Amino acid sequence: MRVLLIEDDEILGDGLKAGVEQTSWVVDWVRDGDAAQLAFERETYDLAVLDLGLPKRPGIEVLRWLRRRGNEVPVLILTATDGVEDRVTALDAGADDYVAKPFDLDEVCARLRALHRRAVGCTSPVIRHRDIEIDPATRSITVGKFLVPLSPKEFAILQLLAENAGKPVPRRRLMSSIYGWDDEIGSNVLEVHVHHLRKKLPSLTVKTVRGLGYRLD
Amino acid sequence: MSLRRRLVLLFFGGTLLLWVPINYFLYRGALAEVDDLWDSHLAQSARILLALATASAERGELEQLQDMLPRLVPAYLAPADDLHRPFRADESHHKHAFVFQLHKRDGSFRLHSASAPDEPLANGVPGFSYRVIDGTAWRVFGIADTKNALILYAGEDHALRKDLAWHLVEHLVFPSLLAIPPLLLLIWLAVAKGLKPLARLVQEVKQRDPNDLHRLSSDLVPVEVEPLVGALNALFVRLERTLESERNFTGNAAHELRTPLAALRVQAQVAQWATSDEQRQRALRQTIAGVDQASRLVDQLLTLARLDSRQTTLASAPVNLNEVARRIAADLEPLARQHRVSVQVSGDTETVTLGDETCLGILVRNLVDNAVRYAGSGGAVTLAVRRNGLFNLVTVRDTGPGIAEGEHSEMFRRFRRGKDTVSSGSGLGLSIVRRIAELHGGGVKLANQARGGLCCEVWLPTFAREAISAARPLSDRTDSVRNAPASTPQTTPSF
Repeated sequence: MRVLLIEDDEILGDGLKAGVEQTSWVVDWVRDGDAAQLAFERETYDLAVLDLGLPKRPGIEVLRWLRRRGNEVPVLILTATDGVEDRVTALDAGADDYVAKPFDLDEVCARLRALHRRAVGCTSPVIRHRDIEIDPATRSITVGKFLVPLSPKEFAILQLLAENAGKPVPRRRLMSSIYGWDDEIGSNVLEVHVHHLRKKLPSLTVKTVRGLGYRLD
Repeated sequence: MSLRRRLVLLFFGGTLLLWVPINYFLYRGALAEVDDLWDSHLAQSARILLALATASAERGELEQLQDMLPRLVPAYLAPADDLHRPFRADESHHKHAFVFQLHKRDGSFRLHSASAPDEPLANGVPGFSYRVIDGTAWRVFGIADTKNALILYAGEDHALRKDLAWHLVEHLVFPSLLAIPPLLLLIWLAVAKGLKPLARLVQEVKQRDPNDLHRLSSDLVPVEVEPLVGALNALFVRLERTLESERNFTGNAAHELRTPLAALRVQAQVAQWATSDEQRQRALRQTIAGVDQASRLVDQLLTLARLDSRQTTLASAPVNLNEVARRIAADLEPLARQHRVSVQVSGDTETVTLGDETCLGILVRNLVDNAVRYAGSGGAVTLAVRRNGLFNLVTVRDTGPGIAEGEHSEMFRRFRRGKDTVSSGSGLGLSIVRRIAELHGGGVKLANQARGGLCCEVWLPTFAREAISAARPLSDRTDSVRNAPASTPQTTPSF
């Protein structure tokens, strides 16, 4: 899962990035509106966290620009004002949810999960595939009564595949959901993760789609 | 004193002021009329008496006149009882009311009415005259019959006439005196009615919610009050603007505080969740940095709030800016080291400004602090204090990215940050600098240097003992900012 964080405050941005990354998501952090637009042009994101008060280009403008381009990425707004006006404006401009500063990191993550669920058309908070239960909130995988420990990257790959079960997920998409800009990427690292997944979860039927990526049947 | 009472008193006083002379002239007019009337009456009576006397004298029966006269004209001898009764009941005057003295020129005959004085009423003067005898003023008409050598003086107590005139006037004055209370009431009511639009206006303003700053309608107010309504409306507009900026300021202040708070909370939670010790240490370091950032913001907010409210009266003592600059530069040395920025101070020694040392310190601190934060790692900040004629110039240059020309004035707006900035400033530093400079009768301007970096220049009046401006309290000098030389920057070297 790849998240674009648009926040100009150094310490808040750093905290949010660290906090959201702890939930096994990949976070790209930009500090102003212009950089946010560049990032959206370059990369496909699953979620965006947008602060409204930004240098160079206000958050609301970035949001309008995003929706004008037809980008439907779920956007969580961070507002510093407690007035409804800003929220109404933001929601009307295409935001999907908002939290007011100061907020709880747990809540932000929960809202991001909820936004993502809605975006992939999944009503249940727990994703089921055969006998495998994937709980994004606790980042736990249960097979029957047993917990299966997965690394954050393995978890992210599994979640993405499960959400798109039956459809092939491109390699690039899978890579971008586990590696941010700052990460160094090995050459056959995706294959290694998939290999581990297949070993840890024997009931998993991950098919390799030649020249494209992987598919969960 | 209420407008109503003042108006009533003015109207009433004015009416009385006119009323008194009107009645005086009325009295004088009545007196003149009475004089005319009674003079002719007196003259006629005298002529009749003299005609009687002449007739008697020609018949040689002058002596008998004494017996005859009372019978013929009782009114003259029991004088004026009926004539004067309507005017005065005082009997003591009646015997003086009408008198006559009939003399023969040789003194052989002398006939006086009962109440006539012994002394002659006139000295052979024909026509009208006055004479005071024994405290009684007489109006006298003398007439002579030269053929029979007879002289007749008809006299009348003059006081009686005054009484009569007074009586006449009284009949006019008393009704008008009676009219005074109703007049007062009418004036009172009329004034009340006249002031009604004003009262309505007062009511409208009084009943207003403190936040209701809508214009007052000038449709229903009288023309005279329109300027007042206009002035009130103008005040409302100004108030609204002030409130608006205050609301903005507090709103912005809250906004600016929420971000560091959010940062602190998030970092604390990251530390809580951290899976590695390294991660936890990092989050805690960030938390501390966040606390520092928040306290810096709170300090600046408080400074600005105090400067705005002018609750703290600025001290007014000679301050050597060069010393202040050196002290602040030393204070900020750790910050500069942290940012890997070198700070250099240079300048003249004779740079004295009249003002508040603490505030001027805050000014320099904000300038240098900003410069250090934006200079960039390995950069340099130069702080120069120089005297230039009437002004001391405090110039701070950095090696940072500078600010786009068009945005220089924007930078002084509160909570406004430069578009190219990545540093987490509060956006208040330059507002504080400008406010302090203005309070000291100076100003501030920004410019980009040719070789890159920002140059911020503050000018403050030099202190001269003979300067008149030194005598003025600092707070009054804010206005003089407009008069501060816009040309000052000309003296700065080209960046």
